[in-house]
Amino acid sequence: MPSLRASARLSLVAAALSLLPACGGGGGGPSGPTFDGATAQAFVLTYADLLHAAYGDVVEAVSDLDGDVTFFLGAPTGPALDAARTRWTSIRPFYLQTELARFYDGPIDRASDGPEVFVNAWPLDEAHLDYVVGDAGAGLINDAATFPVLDEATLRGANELGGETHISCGWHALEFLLWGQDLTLGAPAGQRPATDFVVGMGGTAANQARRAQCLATLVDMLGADVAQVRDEWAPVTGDYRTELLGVTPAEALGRIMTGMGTLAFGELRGERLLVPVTTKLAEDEHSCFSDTTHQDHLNDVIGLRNAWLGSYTSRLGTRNVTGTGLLDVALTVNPSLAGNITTILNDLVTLLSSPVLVPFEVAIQGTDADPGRAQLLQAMAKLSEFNTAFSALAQQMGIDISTTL
Amino acid sequence: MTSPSLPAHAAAGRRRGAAAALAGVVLCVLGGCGGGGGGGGDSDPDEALLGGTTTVFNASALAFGFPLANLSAERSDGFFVGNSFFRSNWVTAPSSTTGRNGLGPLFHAASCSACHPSDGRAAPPAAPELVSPGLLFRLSLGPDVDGRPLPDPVYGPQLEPDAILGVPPEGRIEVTYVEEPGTYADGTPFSLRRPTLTPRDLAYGPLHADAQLAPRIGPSVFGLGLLAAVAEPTIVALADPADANGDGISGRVNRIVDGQGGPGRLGRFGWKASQATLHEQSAAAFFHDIGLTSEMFPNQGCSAPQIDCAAAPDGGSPEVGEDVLGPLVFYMHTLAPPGRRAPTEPQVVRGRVLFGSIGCAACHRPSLVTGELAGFPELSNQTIRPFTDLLLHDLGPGLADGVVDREASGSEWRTPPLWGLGLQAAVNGHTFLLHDGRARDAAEAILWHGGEALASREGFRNLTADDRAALLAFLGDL
Repeated sequence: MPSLRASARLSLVAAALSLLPACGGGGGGPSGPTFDGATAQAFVLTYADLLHAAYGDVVEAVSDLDGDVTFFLGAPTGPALDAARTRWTSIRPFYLQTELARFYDGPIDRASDGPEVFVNAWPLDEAHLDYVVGDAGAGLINDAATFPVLDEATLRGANELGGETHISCGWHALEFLLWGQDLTLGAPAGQRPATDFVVGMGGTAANQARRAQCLATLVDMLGADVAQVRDEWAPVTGDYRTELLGVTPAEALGRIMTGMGTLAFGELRGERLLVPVTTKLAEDEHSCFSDTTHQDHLNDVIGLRNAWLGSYTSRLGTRNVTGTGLLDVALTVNPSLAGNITTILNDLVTLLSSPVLVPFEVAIQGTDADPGRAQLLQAMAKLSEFNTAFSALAQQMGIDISTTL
Repeated sequence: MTSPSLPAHAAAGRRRGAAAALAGVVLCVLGGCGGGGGGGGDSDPDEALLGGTTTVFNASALAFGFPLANLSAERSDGFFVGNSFFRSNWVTAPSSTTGRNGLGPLFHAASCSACHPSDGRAAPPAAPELVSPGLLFRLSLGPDVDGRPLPDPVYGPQLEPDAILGVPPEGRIEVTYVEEPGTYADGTPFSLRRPTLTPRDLAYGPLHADAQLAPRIGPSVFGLGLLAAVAEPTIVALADPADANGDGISGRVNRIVDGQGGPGRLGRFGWKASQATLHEQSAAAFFHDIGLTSEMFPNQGCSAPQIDCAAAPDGGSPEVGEDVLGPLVFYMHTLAPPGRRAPTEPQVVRGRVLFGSIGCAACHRPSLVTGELAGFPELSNQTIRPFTDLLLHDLGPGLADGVVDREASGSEWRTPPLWGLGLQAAVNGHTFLLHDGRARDAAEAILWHGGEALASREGFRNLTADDRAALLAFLGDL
């Protein structure tokens, strides 16, 4: 399965079909909507609002990062690089909180034009992009013969070229350019020197100007890609928002719940926790150069809880959303199950906030009795619990999630 | 983003929705939910379910990358872990930064996904001077007593165009094409391109004088578990080695004897069905294509003149253990075939009828039933529609590479499955077909058929333009 994709690869279908566990009462599948339609429609509206707000936060934040990067490239110093890294780390959670909107062929990952592959594709093979220990000439930055100009078209064209981990765009490409390879287990994270971007006297590594151009171009591309998605969720003018509000509530909930269920089970539990917990390889962690993987996991779950509760707390407090949550819809169907899911999501936020998970590459080492792995195994079990409960809810709501694939 | 894209998107969504709903119902019926099954009548109501209840309905660029639809959440762990080994690059040993080391020293590609992109089919090189990771070249001096290809004494069983730093790569094969014009019976012209293979940049001297080159494109890898689950007697029953029924088709089984005597094990994977199991196929690919040793291939593939290769550090003994091979092979078993999109569209239905009437279905069998595969209840007892008989057929001199592999002659090929054919462009961005990618689309692939398939090829060539379009529409719906 492909990589960003990789991500996408999720077990959309496994999740979807597990949503239809026992075929219900002798009949053939779900028997039609059982939820309150007006509440559902109100939730879909809130869902669109909170995605528009979250993507808006990301666009604004990437613009801030663009300012930091421009300042840094103007005078590449250690403190300026640190400032850009700090910004990357502080804005990243807001992107993770949008990931629940993947996996249903919506604006972020629609087959025809969704930019997800250019935004958050991983894992990333460093040697595709820049030098690595043992190979100073690696990567397209150091290959001016094949890639004479590192413009947007080149970087998009090189994304996934020759292998699913050959990633040259998005958050993780930026992360690698800002941090470099993380050569230690535990602190510190990647230690790329600012001088990698100094042209001429005092510069380190080769092709500093190309590296700088790559960094600047990638920030612009990220902002543009997320803005494209944000605009589809805009009130009145957003095409996808209009579409989603126009289909039946059952269809809309089918898509939304496919995204949420898939993110929780296939992507977060499967790709981002199970794989690295099994392999114990740092290269299987999501944000490995910056050692910030723990906050990715936490904010995926916070995004799920935002939709569940119908609320969003924005980066600067300017885009807060409070409205109808999926919880409110669930309460019209099965209050006890709805309460269980709220508890599970709160438990997940607690589990994934634990300091024993920082840094993630250390937490996955050792035995299953060690604090990090024990915590991760608990989180994985909790995500399976979520999958079971969420599947049961979909079934009781009469929603066939598989029909939205 | 643009409003014009919306209607098309919405329509696609509806189609998929309908198909998925069908899958849900079928699953439910088979799951013991009672209620009569699919009905009966003229058309097969399950025709869209190419992989039975494992079928996944998704027509996107991810279409080949989903787990079996009936794989439970509890059993999906191996799929995710296996996928991580399939997609990720292996790196040079020793390495302080990764567990996936041991690449090479000589190799063809650094990951499985390089040759099976998005679990789909690779393309041949776009230009003669390029090396495509998806097209490799086996070398054979002819068969040994067990029918195995004898390797080149210096270059081994496969030419490796890449190597780790400090080790000279073996060389590359330049592929050029000669166009050969032809015409359909209605006068419409076509052109086929015949490849010419020329060794270049050979680092360790010339190839052996008797060395034959066997080009092999990386095929798609979904649905393989279902093919593994077809019981041996089912395949043997389809064989007709002496053409006893006089239909001009003589399907033969390939057998792997392993020097142990006896009838040998049935081969079912690879372009010539020379691999018996996905475990063996995967270990062989790790070794020959990525340069990774395993229990089955414990020694690095360096020949005597390849001193730098032999001196290079390795990534452990073996480099790939069961902790890697186990999940990878589970992944290979559990990638789902895609469902059909429009099996009842009139043109597609007409194409299906033509597919039978001109004889394609004699080898590209529309339906098989799997047996019990130990450890995989999901794959067992499924009615599948892979459009293969898993048998060897002589396709004539036009496609022959002259390389004997076990029981397979130099002009015999295993019938490749056709499921997913219509989604190849969506997943892989191209429509190249056949063992070396010479066919630029399905029509050219049909026109390359000869030997046992010559009558079918002529049947296609004699069709009207409308009927040809209908046949291709049927293939495009697979």
